[in-house]
Amino acid sequence: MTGRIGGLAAGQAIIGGGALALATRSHGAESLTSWAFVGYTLVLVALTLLPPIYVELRRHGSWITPADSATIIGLLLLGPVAFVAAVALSELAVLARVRQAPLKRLFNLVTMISGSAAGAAVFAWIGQADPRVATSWAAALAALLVIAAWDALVGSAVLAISEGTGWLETLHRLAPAVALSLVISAALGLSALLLFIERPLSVVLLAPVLAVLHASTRTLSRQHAERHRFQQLYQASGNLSQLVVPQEMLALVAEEARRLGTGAAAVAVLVEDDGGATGIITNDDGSADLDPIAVEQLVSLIGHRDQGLATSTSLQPELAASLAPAMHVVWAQRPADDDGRLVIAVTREFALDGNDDHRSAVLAAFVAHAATAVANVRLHEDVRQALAREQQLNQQKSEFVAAVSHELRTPLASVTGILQTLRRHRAHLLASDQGELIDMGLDQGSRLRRLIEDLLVVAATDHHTIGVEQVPVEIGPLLRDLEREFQPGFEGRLRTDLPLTPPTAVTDADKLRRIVANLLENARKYAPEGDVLLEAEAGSGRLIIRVSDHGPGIPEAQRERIFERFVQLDQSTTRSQGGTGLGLHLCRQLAELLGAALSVEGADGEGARFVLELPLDGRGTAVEDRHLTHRNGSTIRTNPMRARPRTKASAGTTGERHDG
Amino acid sequence: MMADVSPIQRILIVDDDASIRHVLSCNLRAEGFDVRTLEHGRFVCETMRHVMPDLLILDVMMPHRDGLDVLTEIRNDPRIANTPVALLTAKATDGEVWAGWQAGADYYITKPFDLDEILNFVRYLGVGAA
Repeated sequence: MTGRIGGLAAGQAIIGGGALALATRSHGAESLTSWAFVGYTLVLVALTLLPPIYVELRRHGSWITPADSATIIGLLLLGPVAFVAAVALSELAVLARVRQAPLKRLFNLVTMISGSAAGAAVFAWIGQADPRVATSWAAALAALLVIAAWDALVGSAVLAISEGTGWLETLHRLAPAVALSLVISAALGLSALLLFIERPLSVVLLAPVLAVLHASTRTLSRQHAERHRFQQLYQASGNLSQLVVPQEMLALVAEEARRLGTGAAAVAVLVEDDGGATGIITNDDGSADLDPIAVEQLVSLIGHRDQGLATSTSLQPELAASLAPAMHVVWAQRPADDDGRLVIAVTREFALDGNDDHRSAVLAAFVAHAATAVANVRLHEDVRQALAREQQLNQQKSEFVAAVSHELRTPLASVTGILQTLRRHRAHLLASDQGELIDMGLDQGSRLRRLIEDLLVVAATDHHTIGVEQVPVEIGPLLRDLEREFQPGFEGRLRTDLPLTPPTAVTDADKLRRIVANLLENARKYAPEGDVLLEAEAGSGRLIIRVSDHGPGIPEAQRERIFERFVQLDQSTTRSQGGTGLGLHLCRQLAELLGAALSVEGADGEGARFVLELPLDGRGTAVEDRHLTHRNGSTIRTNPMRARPRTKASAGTTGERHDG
Repeated sequence: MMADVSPIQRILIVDDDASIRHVLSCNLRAEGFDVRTLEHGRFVCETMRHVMPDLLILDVMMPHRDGLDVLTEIRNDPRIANTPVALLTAKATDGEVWAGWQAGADYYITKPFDLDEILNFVRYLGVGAA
């Protein structure tokens, strides 16, 4: 009797130890759940020992009394009840750890408990029918089958939802592997039981068979899973080929990665060359931007390794909070193009299991495909933007040609019209009328000349053939000359505010005059009402010239655009004024040549104020190899042979002007 | 009513360029026409309904209101719809000229223009209407 009990205990110890070893190996010893699993395995093993021991004790005594039967039934029920309780407790421990959404938590709990309860019921029912030892064991096996079947049903349903496939299809895929391993385990278990009852030691003979079968079913199911993963990988990579819109790019990558890794959440991060990174997280709630701090932490966690995995306990708090619910993270990264790399991380709400290496490998393969797709999208976007820029430039050029044509034709029409009129009516016209016509013709001639000069200067700056001639320039006379020149056009609206002793600036007088003249002309055209103020003030080595008007002003968003070439804010044919759209572009170019800064300010609707800040010592041109940076980022290198500043020591030019 | 049966008497010139207005009015007055001028497109239709010109010489690119827009309104106003309109503009591409004809111009003159061409057109209108 003692021998049989000892044998039973040894058998249970082997089974329990095996279960523990499996649990520890697959779940990872450091995780809390594995300890819970260890705990309930031990309880289960201990409790299943009770009925056979009791039966064995009574076997050599008297008849089994009704009281004995009741005790046996009670013991048999105790096992399943404890089993269910242990499962529920361990499940609660897992769920508390992974911070799942409440609904999901409830679902998992109900699934686990109902599965265990069904298994326990079967166990109790068979055990109650005939409480002999062998039947109890068979009951345990049957209960195991029920639990496994239930697990397969629910598990395949959950998997089907997370992978977006059909439930039957998933069940069909899972069933062979589950059934095979269960049938083999059950057959072996029963054989072992029968052998054990007859000859306890002969069970040892089954061990090698058990080991081989276990290994082969495991390999089979692995191959099966692997094939499935590759199918999924092809599908996910194929889905990426539809990527075209950069804004949707990371979200789609994350979505596919999440499906592929059957994860609770997935993250796709694009790390730029300069270290800047953007990330998208996809989970049950959909896609959203990943918290920048979490992005940074993820990037630093991963470093430069191609792939790997981490448990949630090793994550920094912000990252862990963003990725929750997560027990562990599988990640991989690849360079996307010359400037960036793509990082994908899939978080799972379960402890690490034997398949994590596979997931990691599949994710690494996927990230390689995704990185190529992302690089393509970025390239596509670059090309698209370049094309749009080209088209815009073309459009601006067409408008420019039309505007130049208009601007040339109008004064030419006046000049020829005036000349034709003079030829036709010279004899009848009063001398004063003739004089008026001639003055008008001259004005129009100047207008033409100014336009042509502007065009030539722009062409010269384009071809880097413009030179800067720096001489000391008396600012006062220069601005007063301009005031005299423009006052008639303003009909008295032009006011000036100049310092009592205007400074002398070392600069190119002609270019400075052209800038201010263009600004005044601009104010005359676009601010037809209200005073226009021309101010100058000097301080800390700089001269500041302002031209302020009371026109409509320039909207904040357009303040840099107006300095672009060919740009006129009002492109309609109702625009108040003609012009080529060159004026302000030219001013900016010339200002840069002089080392000056030209900007515009003033609130919307309150007029515009153009501000020119000019260095008094001409240092803007002191550097020989000056670079002009264009709005499109290209660099103009001035021709050193042509553009070398020739600073005249004498004040001859200004002296003449002063005397004149 | 008068415009339909009388030879050309009164001409309205609309152009934002002062020298063009001056040159045209100088020459047309010398031919004996009653010339009025406007410097932008805003009040052209109102002025026409008031002045009832026999011919309108209209620029296209103007402040406040586009000449083509003005022309469209003229053609849709029965009181002034029959007034001959000559567009006088620096817009000289094929597309722009076609847009002018489509808007309902009777004549399209591009700048720079020949004074004789304008005078001939005015005379043609006068002869045709007589």
